[in-house]
This record gives sequence, structure tokens and C-alpha cells, in this order.
Amino acid sequence: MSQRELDRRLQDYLDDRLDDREREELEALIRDDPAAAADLESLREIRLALREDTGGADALSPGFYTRAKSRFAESQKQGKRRGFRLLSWEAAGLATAAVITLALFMPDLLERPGETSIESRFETPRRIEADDADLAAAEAGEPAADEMAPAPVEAGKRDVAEKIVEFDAPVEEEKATGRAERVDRVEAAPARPSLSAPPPAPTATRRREARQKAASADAEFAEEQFAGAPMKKESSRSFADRELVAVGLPEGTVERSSIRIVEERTEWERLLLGAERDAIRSLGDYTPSRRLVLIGAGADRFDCASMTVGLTGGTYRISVGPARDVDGFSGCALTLPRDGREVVVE
Amino acid sequence: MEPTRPSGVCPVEPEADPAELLEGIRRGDTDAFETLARQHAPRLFRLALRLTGRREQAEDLVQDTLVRALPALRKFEGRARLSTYLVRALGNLWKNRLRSKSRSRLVEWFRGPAGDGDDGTGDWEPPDSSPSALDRLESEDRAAWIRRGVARLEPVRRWTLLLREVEELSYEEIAEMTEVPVGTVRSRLARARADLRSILEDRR
Repeated sequence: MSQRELDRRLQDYLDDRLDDREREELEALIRDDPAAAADLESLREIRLALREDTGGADALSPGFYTRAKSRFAESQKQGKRRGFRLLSWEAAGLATAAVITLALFMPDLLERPGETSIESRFETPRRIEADDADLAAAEAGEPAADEMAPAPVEAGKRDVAEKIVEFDAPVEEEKATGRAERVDRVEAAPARPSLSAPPPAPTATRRREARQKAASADAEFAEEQFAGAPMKKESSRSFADRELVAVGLPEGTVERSSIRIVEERTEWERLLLGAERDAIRSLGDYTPSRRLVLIGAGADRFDCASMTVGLTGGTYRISVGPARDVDGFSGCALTLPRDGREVVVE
Repeated sequence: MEPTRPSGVCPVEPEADPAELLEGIRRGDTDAFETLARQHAPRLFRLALRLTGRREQAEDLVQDTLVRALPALRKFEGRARLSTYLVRALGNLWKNRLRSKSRSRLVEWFRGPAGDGDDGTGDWEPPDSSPSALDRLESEDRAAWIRRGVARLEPVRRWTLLLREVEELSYEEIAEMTEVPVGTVRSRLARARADLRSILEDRR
């Protein structure tokens, strides 16, 4: 047996890890080999030395427990201070999250009591690409639409964000049920929002600011572009940059071949309770700077998307084509600046 | 009339429930802490003293272990488990101190070599070999020499040897605590004992 193997056997013997046969063999070897016996004795000596209770040498010094208690008490104080700081940070974090959540969702919830699903707000909206003119306007540095235009309130459960920078394509289901459908909404956004990510939602403050800006912009636009200028027809799209949203009205909500202008709050709000409520709501809430214009179609239903508005001699001239290749509407609605100018439909 | 106690007999307080003591410690009860500390500190100190070879270091290590480990224990699972838990905590704290002391050399110590484990290539904690220390050792008895010699062992072997000889843990328990195979425990023990015997022979 090699020394290495003997050492291992001796260790196993010391630690009682040999079976009976191995133990007997090793004990016989130890009896016959003084060196092996000495090795075993040194192992036992080590064990005894380490396990020996040396009394005073192994005793804790006086005051050990007092010091330990003080250290424990101090650690507890530090722990509480740390806990308080953590609590403060947690509270701050929760408060921040609550503020963000309210800013994102509550204004819309308040304005749209029918909204129930938060998840529905993050559904990817269907998007109609802005045309080249819109993008060119955006590249030219014109203000973003959500800054210029009042954010119309979308019907149903649509995402609040898409009302600001995007709009829905016609919805077959909604047509079938007679619900209003937005037919035109053009906005010049600096950059197209990603379809995969929900666009930012507006806050109530932002909406108010946008409406005020829009009213102001409408007045300026009317003064600078229309007043005193030669007869000039502005396309709805170019006008829409200032806020032109024309929506289709459901059947029976407006008299045929008529024009109705609503300036009073009560009347405006009454429309929000009728069959046309979704369409009117999408044009926005009552504001003193704007008036609501409802136009009834004649024999041919309207293609509200084709609507254009011009300003000639202090008169707003609205032109809307008949529906041919698309399902038309019995009427269209839009808002115009409440500037006292006459409105005619050509 | 108040009941009288037999003269010369000290009243014996019933031993506190460790689970309740731990609960008290978590609430910051210093008396509960002291009660548990008195139960475990002597044994921990004996281990720490052999581990470090220095009283001050050993006491500090034990205090650190008790202060940090007891409040952190969420569930009492028996005295033996608590004792093992504290020993493990003490070893971890000692390991961390060694690492912070000489991070570059000691960082791999407690992982141990691959395979059968110890190949003897690990770094050693610098032994206390100053003349004054040697002089002191010369004047002490053989058992004290052994105890001091342990502090010169390579840390992994030292820890393994002390778990076996001081804590009297089985190979399997050591393997679980140090997270190595039983064969590695056996190898480390053999090398630790051989190294210690060499130290002893040097003294002869």
C-alpha cells in the first residue's frame, strides 16, 4: 500500500468511513506498522487539539454581548432608515405612476364614459396614410395636427390617440348600424407614428390648448387666406390642416337639401344625445369659437370625403360631391370658425 | 402573604422558543437577539477563532454573523438547522472578508478546482510568520501550535477541516454546505491534514 493510499485509509478510519472488513484490515496494519500508528496518532492529535475546549482561550471577551447588542440595535436603526428611504422612493414611484396613469387615461375616461377597456386603447389603430401634401406640409415645419386642431372625440371605443394623429377607415359594421363615420381627417404630423406602438394620448389640458390654437388659427387663416382674396377654392385637405373634419351623418338626422348651423351650446349638446351623437362627438365638444354645420343631401347621397370649402367675399362656400363609387351619406357635418361669415353650399 | 422560594435555589426561567426569539429579532428586540446570541456565539467563536487565528477578528466575525444572519432568517426549522445556518453564514462572511482583503488572489478559492477538487494550486492567506508571532508559538504547547497552524492552511482546506473537526459535520453535510461533491470533501480533508502534519513536523 502506498503512503498516499495509507493516508486515505487512515483518514477514513479516523472519520469512521470504513466498513467492518476494511477497518479490521487497517487495524492489523497499524499494529504491525509503527509509522502508520504514528500517522494515525498525529491525526487524532489534530482532532483533539481542534475539538478541545481550551477554556479561557476559547471564551469570548467580557462585554462581547453588550457590543453585539449595540451593533444589532444600530443595524436595526440603519435598516429602518433604509426601509424608510425605500418606502419614500416607492411612494414617490407610485405617485408618479398614478399621475402618469391619470394623465393618460382619466381625461379620456371622463370625456368618454362609454369607454371601459383600457386594453382597447392600445389596440393598433387602422391608419390611412396621409397624402403627399400632408407630409410636405409636415416637412415644411407646420405645426403638428394635434397641436393645431381640437382633438375630436371618436365614436365608440376607438383609441383616443388615433383621434389625434390618425383616423379610422370606414367601418362596415358601423355603416350597417347607421353609426356615423368619419370620412375625412387630414393632419400634418411631423413623423408618422409607428403602427406597432400606441401613439401618445392627449391630456385634457392639451386638448383645450389645441382647441384654442385651432380657433385662433382658423381666424387667422380666414383673414389671411380668404378675406379680400380672389375667389379661391381651398380643398378640404388643405383646409383640414387648420381643422376641417367632415363626417357623414346617419339617415334621418338632417333634412334633405338643407343647411343647419348650430352655434348655441344647448343645441350642440342636444345633438350629442341624438342619433347623430357619434358623428357630432367626433367633431368635438361645444366651443364658442366654432359653429357646427350640418348639410342634408339631395337626391344623391353625399361623398363627404370630397368636401371642399372656399371663402369668397366673406362667405364660406362648401362644395361636396355625390357619392358614386362609395356608400354615401344622407348628410355631412363639419365645423367652421364662428366668425359671422355666411355659409353656403354650392 | 407572598409565596417563598426554597433558599439557595435559583429560579430557572423556561427556555425561550427560538421561533419566537427570531420573530422578536426581526422586530428589533435586542433582548431576543442577546438570548439567541448567547446560545450560539460560544460555538461560533470557537470556530471563528480557529478559522482566523486571531481573537479580535474572530469576535468581530461572530458579531457580524449574528447581527446579519439572525434577522435575515425568515423561518425557524429546528435548532440544528439554525446552527448550521449560522455556521454557513459565518463561513460566507469570512470568505467575503478574504476576498475583499485580497480579491485578485482569493476570488477563486471557494470554488475549488474542477474534477476531484483540490490540486493544491490555490493561493494561501499570507501566514503570520513574523518573528514575534513565531516566538509566541514556540512558547505555547503543542495543541496551541496545532490550532495556530490551522490558520496557516489554505482557506478552502482550512474551512473544510474545521467543519469536520470543530463542527463535526459529516462528509455529506460538508459537501452540501460547501456545494462540492463528497469526493472533493474527502480530498480537501486529506490535504488539509497532510499540510497540518507537515507544519507539526517542522516544529519538531
